[in-house]
Amino acid sequence: MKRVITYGTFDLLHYGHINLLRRAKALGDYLIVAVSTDEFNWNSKHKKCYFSYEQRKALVEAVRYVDLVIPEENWEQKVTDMHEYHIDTFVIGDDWEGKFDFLKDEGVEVVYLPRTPEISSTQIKKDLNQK
Amino acid sequence: MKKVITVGVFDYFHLGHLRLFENAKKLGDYLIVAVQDGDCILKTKPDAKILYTTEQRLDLVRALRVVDEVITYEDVDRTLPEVDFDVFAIGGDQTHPGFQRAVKWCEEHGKEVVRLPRTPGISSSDIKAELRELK
Repeated sequence: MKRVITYGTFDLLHYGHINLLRRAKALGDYLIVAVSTDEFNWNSKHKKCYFSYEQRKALVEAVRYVDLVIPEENWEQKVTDMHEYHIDTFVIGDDWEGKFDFLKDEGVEVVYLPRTPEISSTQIKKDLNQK
Repeated sequence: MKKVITVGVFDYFHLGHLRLFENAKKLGDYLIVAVQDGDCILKTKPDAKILYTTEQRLDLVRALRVVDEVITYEDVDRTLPEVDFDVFAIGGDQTHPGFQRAVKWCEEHGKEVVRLPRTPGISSSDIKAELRELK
């Protein structure tokens, strides 16, 4: 069974997220999604999400392509996650192109998927602010 | 197989929508979600500012594991008679004349109508308003 993992915030779930999850699942048989916790978002990126971790987790878990949701609590956990969850393929949006190549040293395939153009939660929040 | 149908716009998808689907699904075995076509929403919600196109909203609803079938609709009372279903799950705020006619049609044709409560504290309108105020 080919195991795939991706990481993200998934605030204000939209069809761009769905595109990513669909394509990530298509690369294997079992998809794990690590959803960033509120503390991680605040401490590392000074980012405050609209929806709490519990709400974001519940929505991501409801997506048919997702098999398991785990919390992302820090930047460092990725290396241990690859081994703990027996990951074959790490997937992330191509705005991170090259940044996770180091995971190949852990024996995983690293795939950068193109973002769905014209949609992002950050942009949604910005656009609403301007109206 | 007992088929349940629920309808809505589903812009700014949130946990309240998901709970609606989960509760509607429990009323039967098969859940149909009817998503309102973007061009028609303004007829009953003239102040609505819809962010996502019909196709984008369909994409998201279709991706949910609890949903078995997705269709679009323009007017609820005209679409319902064309669908094969047993139970109409209706949200607490779905009360405008089109819904009243749809409910009446259900009652006249032996379809069960169940009113499901909203999840308190969450709505697309609130989300839009709050996002607008975020700096």
